[in-house]
Amino acid sequence: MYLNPTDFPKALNDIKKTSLSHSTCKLVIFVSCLNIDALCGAKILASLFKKELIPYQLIPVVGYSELKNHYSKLDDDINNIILLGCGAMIDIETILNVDPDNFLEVYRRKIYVIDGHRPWNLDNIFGSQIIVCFDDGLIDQDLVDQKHAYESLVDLQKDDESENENENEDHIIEIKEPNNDKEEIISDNNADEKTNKKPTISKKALVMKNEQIIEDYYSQGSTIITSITIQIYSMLSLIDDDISNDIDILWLSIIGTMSLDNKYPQIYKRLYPLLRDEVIRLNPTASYSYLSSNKADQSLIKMDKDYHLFLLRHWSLYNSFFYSNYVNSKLLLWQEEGRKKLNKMFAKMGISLQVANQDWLYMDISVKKRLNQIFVKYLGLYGLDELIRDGFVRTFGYRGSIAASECVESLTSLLEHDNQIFEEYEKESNKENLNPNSRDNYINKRIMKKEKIWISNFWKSWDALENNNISKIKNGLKYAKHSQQIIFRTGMLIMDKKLLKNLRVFRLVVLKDGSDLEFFKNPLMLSRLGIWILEILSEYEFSPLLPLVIATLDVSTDTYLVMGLASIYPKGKKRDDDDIMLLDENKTMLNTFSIAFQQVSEATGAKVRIDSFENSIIEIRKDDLTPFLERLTLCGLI
Amino acid sequence: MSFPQRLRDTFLASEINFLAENELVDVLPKTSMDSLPLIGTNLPKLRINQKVSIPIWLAIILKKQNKINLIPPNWLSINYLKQKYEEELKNKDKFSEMPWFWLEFSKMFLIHFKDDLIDPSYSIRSIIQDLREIRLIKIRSGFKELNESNLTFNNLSLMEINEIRPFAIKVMDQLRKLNHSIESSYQSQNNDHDNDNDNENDNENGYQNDYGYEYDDDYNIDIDMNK
Repeated sequence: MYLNPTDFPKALNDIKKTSLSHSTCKLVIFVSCLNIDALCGAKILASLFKKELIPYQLIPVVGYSELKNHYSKLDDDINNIILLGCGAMIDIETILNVDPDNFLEVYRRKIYVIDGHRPWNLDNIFGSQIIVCFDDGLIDQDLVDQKHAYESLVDLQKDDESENENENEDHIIEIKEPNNDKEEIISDNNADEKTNKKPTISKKALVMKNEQIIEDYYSQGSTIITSITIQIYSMLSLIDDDISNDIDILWLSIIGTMSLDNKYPQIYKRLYPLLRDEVIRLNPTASYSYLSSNKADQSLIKMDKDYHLFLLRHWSLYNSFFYSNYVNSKLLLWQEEGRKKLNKMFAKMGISLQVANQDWLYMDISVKKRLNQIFVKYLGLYGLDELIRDGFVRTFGYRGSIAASECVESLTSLLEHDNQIFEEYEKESNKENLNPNSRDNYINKRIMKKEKIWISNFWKSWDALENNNISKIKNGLKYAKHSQQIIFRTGMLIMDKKLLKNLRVFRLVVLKDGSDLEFFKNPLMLSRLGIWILEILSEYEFSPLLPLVIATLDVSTDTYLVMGLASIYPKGKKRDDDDIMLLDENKTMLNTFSIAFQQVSEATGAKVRIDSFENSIIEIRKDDLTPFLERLTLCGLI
Repeated sequence: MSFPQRLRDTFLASEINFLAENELVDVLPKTSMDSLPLIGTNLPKLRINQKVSIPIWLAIILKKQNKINLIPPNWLSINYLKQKYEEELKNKDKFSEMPWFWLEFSKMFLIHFKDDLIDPSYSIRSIIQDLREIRLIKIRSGFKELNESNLTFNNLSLMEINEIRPFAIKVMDQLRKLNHSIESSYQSQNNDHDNDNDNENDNENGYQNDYGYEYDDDYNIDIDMNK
């Protein structure tokens, strides 16, 4: 079943009531591991349950198989399960082997799904009493047809069963009757001969029609439309407590929403007014950043101009321009002329390169103060008008301040960064024997180790989000700079060597070699590279916006990690093509790879592993990649 | 517990914190709640806006659940603390009167009940820091007066006493042994002289043994008996 936002508090109260216990833990929270939004949401829920003295278990999971594993090992005591960042798009009852009848009687369990992925799996929202999905009211609005289709299919199925029984008893000849309504069929279960002349042909037509509606719904493509943390925050603010006055929870919500900004910018745009109101409510002087009188133990959120520059306040001005995705796509920085253009731009703005290369903290104060005006004046000339937007900054007393977007970068890199540990594993595993029998085992072990690293990264990022201390986040910023440089290096390599192929229905990049190859084993890193490329592609004036498939080779396991990314609209200016109509900034392209990958992998019989919560990521054996990609171009689903 | 040697003779700071948490403090409930019989204490019945006294550890839990507001004690205000600070500055050899658990309380209040305090927390933090430092300096200078028989620090809090206890006791012990050997050597030299060992045992410094224990008396008795 599904809940509208007004029903959220009731669900939370139910969870609280049924999870209170002196002796055992009755609440388990499964968190999607490589997802900052889910991480922040989990942190909010954890602090909530701690205050209420409710014991809980927090388990980060990497994929569905791990989820299933953990689920089957759960105790009988567990009453409530919360899934964060996963579970919306799959049929949970089948995946977790949940038996509805057994469940409600014996365990009285309930599974709550808080996830922003769409499309919903209709079994979860319409077909199950155990699973509770948190929705923002869009189901009642948009999914009316699908609801009818689903319910009629269920009814038709039920009739099928009961009619089969009747058939066996009466041996009725079936007669065509073209205009028969569904209601007549249901009321048709008498032993009367006449009424048992079932119009099966038009019933079949009905079934097919409804199935078509549902299939169309699923094959639209997937996307994320809301942030988990905002849903949790709205749930908390509807409760009468003072919980919503907590500035830390608001900060976590801001970070969670901001983390989706890379791929789905319209979420942040839509939610910004809400967040701004909340910040002003908790801190009335938030919008007047010039009134910043810093106190030693104050921890405030202020509103400030945010830029699409990369880590402006923690790097030098020049570097933050150079390594910014946005500037890169507009000014074509991977080419020599682009870099010259950047230098010229600085000259025009009146900022000498020497000043621009200084660390932000020590930069000339007069320049810093005038920076906003300078940007407003000159950036328009270079097509960079969207560089400035509104954002949030948090100060931690005298220890420093950090903007929400910078925090997101830092956390992303903390989740991605695994090299040191991985190198140790490399050394260990190089000693292992590589005979063909144990090859599969070896590969499995490598995959498991990789996923363990992701889980330990999750806990590292968890620690970094502690309330009054930004030292770990500052650490993460270092890694962020490092990984952004890697992305730029690899990206420029791709563009220079023309590794980007246009295959009519999508564009393809395959990374087979290079010194930075092992960094891209992490899906987060790979998707950042993909977005980098997509932003550049969206600026190409004369070609259509095509989705991108990006693949990297994992040498040790001989598999390719393949990710499909939907194309993105260019920021800011409108395209005047005939192909692209109006630039609707409030929509995103849907990612149709999730279904395409599944179907193609079944068709080609390739050895794939579709395990991630994002259905558009798969791992495929090296030899199977080429036939897979060929089939993908021909399948017509993109 | 298996502690290193230097921690065995004294309380840990966390243990003192634990002791401090049992003190009663006034709170103003925001919701009503029935009384709860707990192991060490009874939580009294809470009624809205009716002042009630509960131990601090309970207050912290209830505050996290947003059920109460703390009524800050008198001494935790800028004026009072500033006054005490002036006193400390004036009397270089005396300590001003501070509550028994002032360090622990102030820390707990500043962390958990920040919004219940009248004055802004950062100014309270700075004045408490000043007080702490000046008392520490005085204690240190007081160590000059350490002798083998008595030590007087008035108006110290438990935490401060706990800090100097191992050091002071060890030093006094050693001094006593030294003194004892000096005494016995004097005695063996001058058996006729009635060496008054009472000179060292005066209270001229104003520092008395904190426990009110007249160390010097026993010492005298020992000497007399040894004669």
